[in-house]
Amino acid sequence: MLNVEGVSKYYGQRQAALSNISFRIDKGEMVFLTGASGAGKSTLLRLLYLEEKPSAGRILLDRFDLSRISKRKIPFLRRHVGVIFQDFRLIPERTAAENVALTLEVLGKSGREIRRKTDEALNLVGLLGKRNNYPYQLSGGEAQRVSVARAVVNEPLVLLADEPTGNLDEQNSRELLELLSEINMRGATTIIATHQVQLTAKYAKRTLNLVSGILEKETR
Amino acid sequence: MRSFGRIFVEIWRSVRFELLSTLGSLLTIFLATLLPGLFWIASKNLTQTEAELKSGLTMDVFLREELTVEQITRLTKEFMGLGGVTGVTYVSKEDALNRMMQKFGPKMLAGLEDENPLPASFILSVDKSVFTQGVAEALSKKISRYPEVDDIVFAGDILNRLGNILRTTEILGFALSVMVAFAALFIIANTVRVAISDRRKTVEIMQLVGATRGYILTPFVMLGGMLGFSGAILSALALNWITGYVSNHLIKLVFLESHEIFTFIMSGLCLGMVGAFIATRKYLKI
Ligand SMILES: Nc1ncnc2c1ncn2[C@@H]1O[C@H](COP(=O)(O)OP(=O)(O)OP(=O)(O)O)[C@@H](O)[C@H]1O
Ligand SMILES: [Mg+2]
Repeated sequence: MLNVEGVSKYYGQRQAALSNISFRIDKGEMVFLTGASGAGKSTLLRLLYLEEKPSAGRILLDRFDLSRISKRKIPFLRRHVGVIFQDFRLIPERTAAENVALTLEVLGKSGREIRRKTDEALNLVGLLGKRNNYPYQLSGGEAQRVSVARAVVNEPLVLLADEPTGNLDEQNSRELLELLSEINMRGATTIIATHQVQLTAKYAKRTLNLVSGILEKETR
Repeated sequence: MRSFGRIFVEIWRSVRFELLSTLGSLLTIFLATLLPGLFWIASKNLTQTEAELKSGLTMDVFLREELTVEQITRLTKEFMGLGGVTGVTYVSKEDALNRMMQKFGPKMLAGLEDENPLPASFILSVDKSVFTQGVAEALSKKISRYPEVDDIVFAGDILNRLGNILRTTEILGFALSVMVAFAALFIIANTVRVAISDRRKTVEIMQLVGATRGYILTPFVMLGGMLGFSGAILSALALNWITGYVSNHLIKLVFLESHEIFTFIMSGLCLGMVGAFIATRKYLKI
């Protein structure tokens, strides 16, 4: 489903942020991406959600070749990729429901469908009751769950999370990983970048470990 | 395509936190469109007045003394033969006094009946050809050679000069309007630039969920369009009021016709959209 073949990323002439990375992820898998700060986790995810292009190598997502996509087509591909960030990235002037709806609005869905799917997604993350709260009226854990709802509301091919628990306390972090795991069990292919290895151990999932831009041999 | 409702909601989200500066730029656009509007109305009225004056223009030929019927017939015939003259009317001393009476009322002219100081005259109607360089001079030269003729008064020269002034004013007004339009363009572009930078984060997030460039820039372009549109409407209302006020207190003026008002307001709309589009090209780096 996701096929990364010999991908490298250079910023300028200095050391490679990623060098010759290759791996495959099957449909429905849940994978942790680990590594120290500066190892290249965010860089790899940025390549996957088309924020940047690889300097070398190929990335195949389903039937699309991400390394060869034209700039005009990027928005259309992004609609198949859901992303979650450490800092939630909710639009402050939109309510929880309006933030989730954005994903569907850009697709030009009808108002009725938007409402139905938005409520479904908010229900999934347990926040239907706070659908009309603005981001500043949500706790960190709740805000992150809204961003999860926004990422999955259109059923993307792959769900990417970059340090999703980075701004959350222990309890909220556990709950969030639980939620992502549940979403994964419903069939979403999921990649979670984190350096909080103590939280991921419980799930005994496949782990890709980056060391200074190089992918360690997989142990599992 | 998304509905207009959603676009307007997006515009509202753009301006909500910048209401004061948005109102400020609306005011500036209103003032900026006011000036071209004023020039337009002024030039429209002047052109109309000039045309009316030209079409009703006459050459007054004052005579040394009252003429006999034979003299009148002969001179009428000869004047009619001159190029550019389309009609000849004889005004006797008595006619002249009567005309004066009608114009100013009998009170002011009391006493004149006894010794009428007004000369007899011919009033020549002339056609447009006398506005060509030199024609009027040649005509009055010919007429002044008649021994019966005392003096000739022709307003055409003044009118010609008036016409030149009008043309210059129009060119100046046009140049000034173009400059002001550029200023308005700049103001709108700047307002939209502020809106874009205020919503930088939102724009990033929209991109992240797969919004196209067109989707993201539409509300910004519409914001510019709305600013230009409302500015022009306010300006048209003000111009209408000014025209009415001047008509009631000074001189009768005509206002723009409905298709001209439409053009005026649509120009505002286009100006706003173009300004906003320029801003998105420059500042919406996506
Ligand atoms: N835009 C950029 N320009 C130049 N260098 C960059 C850029 N983005 C990342 N890098 C470099 O690439 C390397 C990998 O960075 P990256 O953000 O992917 O690390 P990370 O694993 O996500 O770290 P963290 O856990 O701190 O988030 C770092 O050395 C970083 O300095
Ligand atoms: Mg990172």
